[in-house]
Amino acid sequence: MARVPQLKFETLNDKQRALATSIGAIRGGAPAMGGPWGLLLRNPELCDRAQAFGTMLRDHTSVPKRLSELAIALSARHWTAQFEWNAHAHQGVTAGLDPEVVESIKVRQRPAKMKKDEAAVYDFISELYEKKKVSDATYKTLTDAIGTDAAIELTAIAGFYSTVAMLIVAHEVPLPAGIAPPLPE
Amino acid sequence: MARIPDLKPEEMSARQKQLAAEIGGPRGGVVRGPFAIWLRNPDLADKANQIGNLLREGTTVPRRLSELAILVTARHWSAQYEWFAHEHQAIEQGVSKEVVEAIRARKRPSFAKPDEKAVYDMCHELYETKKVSDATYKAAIETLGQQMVIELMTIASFYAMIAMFLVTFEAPVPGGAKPLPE
Repeated sequence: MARVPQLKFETLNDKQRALATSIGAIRGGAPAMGGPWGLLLRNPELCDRAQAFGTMLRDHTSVPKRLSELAIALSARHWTAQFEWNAHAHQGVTAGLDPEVVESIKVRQRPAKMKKDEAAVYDFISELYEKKKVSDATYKTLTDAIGTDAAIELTAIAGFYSTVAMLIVAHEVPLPAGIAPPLPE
Repeated sequence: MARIPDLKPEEMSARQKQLAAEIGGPRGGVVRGPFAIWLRNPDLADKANQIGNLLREGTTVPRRLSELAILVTARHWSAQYEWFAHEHQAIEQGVSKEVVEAIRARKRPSFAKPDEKAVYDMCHELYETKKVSDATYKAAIETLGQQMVIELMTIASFYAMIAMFLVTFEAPVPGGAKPLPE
């Protein structure tokens, strides 16, 4: 049972309708009424600014999608944000992550075989979440692998998808109808 | 020692200078903390600043409660700069010194105000257990209402993103202070 009732499209005001429609369209489908965007629609200006930020991080950074989806998968796993994992894990594989990498993350294991940049991203984000700090060695490996500018963008991606994960978890945002929870506890 | 040096004015593009003026204006003319990092990517700085402005001025959450949520977040991450930037704002907005000191020491404050208790419990439980129990969620809804609970969690989680930046890039507090003990 969802904690927050989903708004109905017919009851939205013009700004909310336009937002739900464009957010849904960018993500390949119907108006975004469920999920984290459905929550944020209740403050349309906040929703608009958050989607501008999220769309930039999704589609317009110098971070290769393979690495940004790795950061998103690690964030969804850290928070056990089922909705986020469901929406993104397949995008990671499409972007070139080995399915075994995704499967290992799902069961909270360090993937056995990763590309060098993937290992740098994995170690950075895992350490940040687990220890709430990043050692000099890990930071150096990250910036040597992808550069400082991409490290800033990557931190924004992990951070923003943590924001989304926290909203999903706090409000128990339900999965789309008929989808079983993909992540084990 | 910061991992990323602040940009000098002569290193900034016209857009970066304009953003620095916009961001620094209400902050005593200085661009520090997360903004100093974001400024290296003007689109990122601009869009993050737009969200931050809205969360400060465009929600139903009273500043007293949003500053409380920010302090709980800063403490969870030991984000020194975030604590430094918000401790005095929390007190100015009416959070008691006893509450602030308890959070600093990672102790549960004893709250005189039920709305502060609801905010603390919701944020603290989310950070510690990565979920929020039915009882805590229900108490928050009854005390604050649905709209405020959604906005409040957006504030906490946006400042968690900021904390991740500050920790990753070791953003310094002016004077090298560390207001939070380990």
